[in-house]
Amino acid sequence: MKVLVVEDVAALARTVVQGLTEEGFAVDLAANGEDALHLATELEYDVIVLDRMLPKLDGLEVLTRLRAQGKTTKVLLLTALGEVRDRVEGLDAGADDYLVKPFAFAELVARVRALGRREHGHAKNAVQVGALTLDLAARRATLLGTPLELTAREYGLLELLALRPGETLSRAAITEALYADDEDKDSNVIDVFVARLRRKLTAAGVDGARLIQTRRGEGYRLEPDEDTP
Amino acid sequence: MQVVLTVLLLGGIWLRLGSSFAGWSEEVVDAALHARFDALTAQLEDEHGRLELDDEDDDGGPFRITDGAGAVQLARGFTAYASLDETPGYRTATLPDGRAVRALTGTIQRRHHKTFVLTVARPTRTFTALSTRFLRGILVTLGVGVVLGALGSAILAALLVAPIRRLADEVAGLEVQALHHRISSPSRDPSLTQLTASFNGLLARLDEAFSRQRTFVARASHALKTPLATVLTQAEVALHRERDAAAYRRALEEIAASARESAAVVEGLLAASRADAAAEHLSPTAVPAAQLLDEAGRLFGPTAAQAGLTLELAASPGAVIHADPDRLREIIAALLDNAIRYTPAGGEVGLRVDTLDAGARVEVWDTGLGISESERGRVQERFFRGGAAEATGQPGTGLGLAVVTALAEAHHATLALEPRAGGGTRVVLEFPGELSPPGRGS
Repeated sequence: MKVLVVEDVAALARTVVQGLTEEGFAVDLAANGEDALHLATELEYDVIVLDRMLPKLDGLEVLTRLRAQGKTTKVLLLTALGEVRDRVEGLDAGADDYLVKPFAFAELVARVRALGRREHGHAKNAVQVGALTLDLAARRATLLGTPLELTAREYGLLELLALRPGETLSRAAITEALYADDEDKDSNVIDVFVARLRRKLTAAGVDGARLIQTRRGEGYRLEPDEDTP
Repeated sequence: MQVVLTVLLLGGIWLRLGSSFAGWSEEVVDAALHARFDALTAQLEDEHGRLELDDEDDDGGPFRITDGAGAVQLARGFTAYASLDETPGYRTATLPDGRAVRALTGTIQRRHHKTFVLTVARPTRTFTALSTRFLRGILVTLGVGVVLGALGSAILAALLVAPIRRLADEVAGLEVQALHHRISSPSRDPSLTQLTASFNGLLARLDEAFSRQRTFVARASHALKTPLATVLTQAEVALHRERDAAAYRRALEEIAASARESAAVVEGLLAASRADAAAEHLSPTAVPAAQLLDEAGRLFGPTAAQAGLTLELAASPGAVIHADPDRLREIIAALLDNAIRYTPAGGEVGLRVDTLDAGARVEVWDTGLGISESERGRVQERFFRGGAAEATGQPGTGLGLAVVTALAEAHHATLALEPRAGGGTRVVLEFPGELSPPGRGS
């Protein structure tokens, strides 16, 4: 899942990005309101973690403008302002969740994951797509009851496709979703990941090439119905 | 209480008027008797030893004329008064039937020095009854007047007080959360309009003070919570998984840095609150500039050298600054700290003290990043951090200059932030020459 962290305090931002990355999220960072608005408008994120007091453009203003543009990306406000009035103000401006500083990191991760899940219409961390079961919290996939041994990138790719079943994703879109903005990106690597993922799926008992289908000139998509036993 | 007073008052009036009326009615009767006596004296004619009344139809009231020895010469309507004796002069007597009468007896001389005794009488009842009725009328009028007056003044008071009460209710109903609310004048009365305006003025000032306070608390809590949140998150993320020794060391270093920043914020807030209280607790003395320079050199020389900066210290000979020495040190430390932080390596920072005609000028300057025109008005605000802070990533609380400003005000010193020719910033403080007595702030 792709997350945008907007935080102006460098040390905190660095740590949150590190922690979320270690949790398997692809994380981008914006240090001020203007950059945040730009990134959130131009790129697709599953969740935005937004500080309220920001240089250049206040966090609440960023949120209001995003919503005015029709962007429905899930937003978690992360702020030192914790009074009921502040929280109501934040939620009224269009925030989906609110976390007050200082916060427990585990709670931030759980809330970000829950928002990402809801973004794709799932109420629980266990997501069933055909024969495939994903545990979003543990970042593990099971096929027909057999756990799959996947690397972080492979799991990330599978989760990306499984959360959007039947939707074709281009290599560029997949690259963008799997990598943080500042990472080295090479969309050709996606083909390699897909090939490896298919091999592991086939080994677990389904036809990997039919579960993850190639759409020539378009990209890849996951077809759960084809594999329902 | 009012009832008792009213009753006492009316009772007093009753007694006073009662006695006055008694005297007055007696005088009235006596005057009438006297007039009657004179009229009769003039009308009586002596016809050969017999007295005759000039006017046969006389009806001026009862009278009796005797020859002084008891024999009645002439009488009219006196039957009822027959019992009256002939004591000369005015008197009050009681008739056998119980009625009170007033009588006047005197002698009249006629021809041949013949003397008669004339007695005129008149019942006092009429006058007493009249005066009593008059008195009662006055008292009733007074009583009704008192009652109506009380009612009227109550209504008038209610009319006058109602708008004030409305105003009071509105003021009493105001909550701290609703200080932006303004009271509407309850009437067009100019003094009430003025009172309302005064209340609204007070509300506006309170609102502003509260809003400043809220902003300060919000900023202070943000400034306190952010480094705490950082420390906590750094520790939790570090502990989230197994790491090698180098990674733990890095995490601990970051935690230490954030904790230091936390401590700096607390220190800054304490300094700010001390600065607020400074105006009341100043102990100004004459601080020799040489001593100040010496201290600054020892305190900031190493820091400046470490940052690759030259520290220049200068003072005109014998210069003294009239200030609280501890607060003055705090001002200079905050300014030099800022100067060193925002001056790139290879630059210069300096402290200079000059004697003025009255007082002294303290200047801290640097060849650093400077303060942009747009920020110059705001850098003295609490928690404001300028573009230079963002550009250099210098940790800080945004309280330093705010504290300096408050301390300067406490000393009645002027503070000016100016761009320095050739780049950098000059902060110029001018201290007044006289010692301002402690306990008196601006």
